[in-house]
Amino acid sequence: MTDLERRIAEGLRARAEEIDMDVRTVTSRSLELQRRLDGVDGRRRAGWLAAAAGTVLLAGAVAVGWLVLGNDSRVTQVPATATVPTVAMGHVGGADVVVPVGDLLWMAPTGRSVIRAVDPASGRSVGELAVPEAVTQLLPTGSTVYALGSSGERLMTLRAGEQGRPELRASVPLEVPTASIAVSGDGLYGYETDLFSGTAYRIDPTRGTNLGRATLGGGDAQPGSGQPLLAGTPNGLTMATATGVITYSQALVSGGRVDLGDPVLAVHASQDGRVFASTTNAVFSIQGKTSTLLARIGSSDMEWLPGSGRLALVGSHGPVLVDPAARKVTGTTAATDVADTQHLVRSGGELYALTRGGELFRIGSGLGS
Amino acid sequence: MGELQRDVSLPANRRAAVATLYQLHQRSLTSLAYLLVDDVETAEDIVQEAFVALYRHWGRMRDHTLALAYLRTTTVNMCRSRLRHRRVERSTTLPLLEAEAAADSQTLARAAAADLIDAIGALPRRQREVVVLRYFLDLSERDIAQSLGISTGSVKKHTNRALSALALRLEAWA
Repeated sequence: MTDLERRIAEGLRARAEEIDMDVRTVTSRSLELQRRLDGVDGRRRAGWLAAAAGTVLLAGAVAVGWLVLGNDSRVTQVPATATVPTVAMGHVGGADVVVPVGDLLWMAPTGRSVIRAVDPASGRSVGELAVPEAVTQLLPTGSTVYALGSSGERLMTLRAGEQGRPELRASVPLEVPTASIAVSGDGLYGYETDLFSGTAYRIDPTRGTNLGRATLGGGDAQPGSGQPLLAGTPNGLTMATATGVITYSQALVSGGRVDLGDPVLAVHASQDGRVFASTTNAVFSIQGKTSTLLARIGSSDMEWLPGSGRLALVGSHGPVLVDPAARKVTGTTAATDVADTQHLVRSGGELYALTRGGELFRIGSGLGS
Repeated sequence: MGELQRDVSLPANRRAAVATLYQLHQRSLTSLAYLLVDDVETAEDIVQEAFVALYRHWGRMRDHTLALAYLRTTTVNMCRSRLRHRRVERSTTLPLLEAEAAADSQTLARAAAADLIDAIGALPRRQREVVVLRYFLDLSERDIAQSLGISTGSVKKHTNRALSALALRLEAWA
């Protein structure tokens, strides 16, 4: 350690010691925290009850099923109608994010300022592009792929170049620090990284500037590892929050709130306009102000499979298939290798699972078509 | 003081685990927040928020040994958000010590320390965060990278730039 470094360390320590936390302050803060933790537990129960009551008012018959399902944790133990086979495609490396672009998967390796293109059919890397900073979200939209920097302060625009390899077209600082991005209609939107505001705004992707914002409430979201907190359909935006509330809007006008009762881990919008939300305990489909419980499975990622009409989830033992219409688990994987699945991605008519250890698996056959 | 305790086995119960972490690390995290936002009450509020966030997040954490890293990252992120929320740049808020009649060695040392803190406060945000995590919490480059969500290369770059800027500034004041 140099003399300057030693002086910095001593100076910071001396400065920190200026905090005079007497016993009274510590006790008062401890009690305050206890009350707040009680509040978290209470709110979760209250949110759960509110969701049930709201559903009863909306549709009696459905509500009965919901309540029975909602109250019965054994629903996750419904015997699977099929054991879905898995095929190991090879080690492709761990990634915060993985998305399909053309026939390839583009991945943002954890903590590295690169984007890697992988051919899922062979499990081989076909190229790697250095980018200005590590990426926390990739958003394919037509021929353009937007990448959100992990600082939340940089937007990168990429395109598939030769043989589908990523090419960087632009990199701009974001005027508003952003936790998640989504496309709705023809606009790019951001979810402001402000733990207290719960604000969405429209981004000028060429300059990174803010074109208008709306506070939708229910903030306090914690960006997860690559899981989008903002989902866009042609008609609107859906925002996840850590307090179990989904807010949605059209053209930055607040449309309403749906309380799911538990912290929301991710939201997913399919190309056909379906919106799904997963919490720590369950997965729901969202339509307007109505939430429908699909399975009591806490899932960190989701993938809608339009061909088979199934929703793929990440359960505690690996990928699980759910039939949203019947609200039943219809398939599970038997292989223990996929128990550590982090991401699900659909590419080239197949469904793939990427584990935290960086292993890529094909799930079933033709499930993603 | 600067180093957080790492190897502590936590109770299985969520409430008890968070309480244990609070008992062990609340003070250090408050110091960290204080060095970044320069306001004790705000720092205490931020640390409370970080523990509440951890409590909410607990069920979806696969590895609870990372709870401290989560708290640290959340604290830094919340400090950043709070500063942004205020819409003010952290200025060199530490008032210089009043000039004393006799410039004895103690006075000179205190003034030099204040100069240093002023200089750290004037660094760009990312450099300031790296300096505090490195030299106050004594974190490795890898842990700093993890806390801030950047590469170790970026940590080195920000550290080197910060040290160069501090050396220049202190030289100018000397």
